[in-house]
Amino acid sequence: MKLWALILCVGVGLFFLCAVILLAGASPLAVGAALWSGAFGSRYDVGETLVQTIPLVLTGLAVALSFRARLMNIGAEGQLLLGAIAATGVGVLKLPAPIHLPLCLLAGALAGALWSGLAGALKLWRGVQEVLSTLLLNFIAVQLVAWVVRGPLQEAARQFPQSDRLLTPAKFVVLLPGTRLHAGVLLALILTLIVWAFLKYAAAGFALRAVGASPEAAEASGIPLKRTMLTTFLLSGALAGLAGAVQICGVTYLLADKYSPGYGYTAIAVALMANLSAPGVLLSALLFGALTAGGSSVQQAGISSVVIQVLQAIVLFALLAYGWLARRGGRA
Amino acid sequence: MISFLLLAVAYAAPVLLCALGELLCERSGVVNIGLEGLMLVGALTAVIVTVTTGQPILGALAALLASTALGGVFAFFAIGLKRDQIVVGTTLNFLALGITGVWFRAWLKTAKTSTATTLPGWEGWSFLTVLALVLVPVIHLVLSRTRLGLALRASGEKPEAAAAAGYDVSRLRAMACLCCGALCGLGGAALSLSLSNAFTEEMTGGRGFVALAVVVFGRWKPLGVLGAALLFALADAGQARLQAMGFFKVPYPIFLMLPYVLTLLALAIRGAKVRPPAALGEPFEPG
Repeated sequence: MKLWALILCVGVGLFFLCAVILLAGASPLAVGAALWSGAFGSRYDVGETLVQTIPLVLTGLAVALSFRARLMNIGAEGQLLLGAIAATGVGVLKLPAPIHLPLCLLAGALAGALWSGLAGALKLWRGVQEVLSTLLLNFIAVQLVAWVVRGPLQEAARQFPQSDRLLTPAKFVVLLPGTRLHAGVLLALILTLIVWAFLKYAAAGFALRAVGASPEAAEASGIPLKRTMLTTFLLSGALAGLAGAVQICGVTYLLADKYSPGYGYTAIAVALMANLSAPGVLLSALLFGALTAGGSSVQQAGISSVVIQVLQAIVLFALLAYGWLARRGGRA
Repeated sequence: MISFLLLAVAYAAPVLLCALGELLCERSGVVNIGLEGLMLVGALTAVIVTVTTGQPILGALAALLASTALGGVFAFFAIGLKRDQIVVGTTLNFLALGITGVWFRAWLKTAKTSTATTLPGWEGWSFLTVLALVLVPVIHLVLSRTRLGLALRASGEKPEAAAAAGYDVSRLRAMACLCCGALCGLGGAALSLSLSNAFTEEMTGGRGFVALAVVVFGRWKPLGVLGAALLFALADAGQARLQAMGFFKVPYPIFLMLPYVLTLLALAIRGAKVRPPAALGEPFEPG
């Protein structure tokens, strides 16, 4: 029953995807081939896939954590941007070498937590739905980046809307020569493990899941509702902010306008596909990382790279339909 | 001054249309955060059909149909399959952003021109602007005075009661979603055929999300929504004008940020006092 449902959903999804590509005048096979070679075609491409996976793991964990507590934080994008701003601010300073990178990461996590904490505070004390506030904060963050790269953080030459480059001690080391794969990947792995253990074994992790399962029941059994929610917001924002800092310290080494290609939004797909589990996030982030990396080469197949977003949407719709079919099958 | 106010109303029309659609949805108990995507699809469809046929009226009609169909996709997943409404809405936004991007670029390669004939009108006003204004009292009356409106409100406040009175809650909600799609499509058409004459990627620029906030700020009432939409449009038109006159030496991004900061502040100030429909966001399981 479940296998049958899975095949049906994948089949219908593929059908719609092919229809979209054909209507745009391109060949689905050529697009598929371009995607594959862009994601895994060479050593460099595999490195690129992993590079794209790292921010998706971190933001994916951020979304999964908050969704587990039934807090609809869809502001990972904005929190990531705030993290990137803070990490850049610290990264261009002259600081003692051994603590420079950790300080950048810390600044990023704090800035992300601040941004999500704002949404948390608005929810808990002013009753503003987090769906709205986190969305609006995303838009504000985008403009904040646009402003700092033309204002306080603009490069000393004052030529382009971008910041100065990071000092070397603030950068992650490159792990695989000939690629851009950096040591941030280890951080992503370790944090996945920590989030998994936190949710499974820590008392605070249990409280978080209890609040997600039923706020009333959690409160009745003595779990402090407000504190748990605020903690969740802060942790979630810290993870997303860290993603921004990791991008700055590991990939771009500077902040520029239009900084994120939407990692924080893709993160929602990543977390949902992983069924909100931390190890699952690792796998689904890898899938979406490959899609993002491969997406840059689909233009050769005569289609815009935004086709990746169509693909993401279709994957999500297929998942939603599968979830329904599987549950119905279980009951029948 | 008068022309400035008229301009503000023209600016408000797309957001107002979307917000009225969302109002119907939310009063029936459904949150649809896919407004941005619905609007975007409407805007693109309107331009393509207008350029192809030379008839902006047909363009607006096609926008209505396309976005209604997409509203149907939302209804299918959120109401038919009872999936999480926020997730379905987010997915809808992905889909719309992707599809409009892909098809717009593919269309540009073949089209002779990408400039559309605008809807007949004046200074950003068109029949869509008038329609948006007329719909405010109409929706108010339908919600407060008709049996259908009562049933709709009941399915948002106490769906069990609506079902016990013999109404099909799921069908009412699905209808509201279709109407929301239709209105967002018209909102998109107003944006691309009335306030401008072409489509650009991501041209909605967050208006769909502002519309969501407008519904909350307008306390889920048509008149309140009108007021809120006008307020935001005034701020929007006002900041554009002040910027053009060079009054403030404030960096441009800070100006662009203002509408969102104001929206957030407005929600924070009013937030604690407003109460959404009781069953908002809850799927309805009959029996």
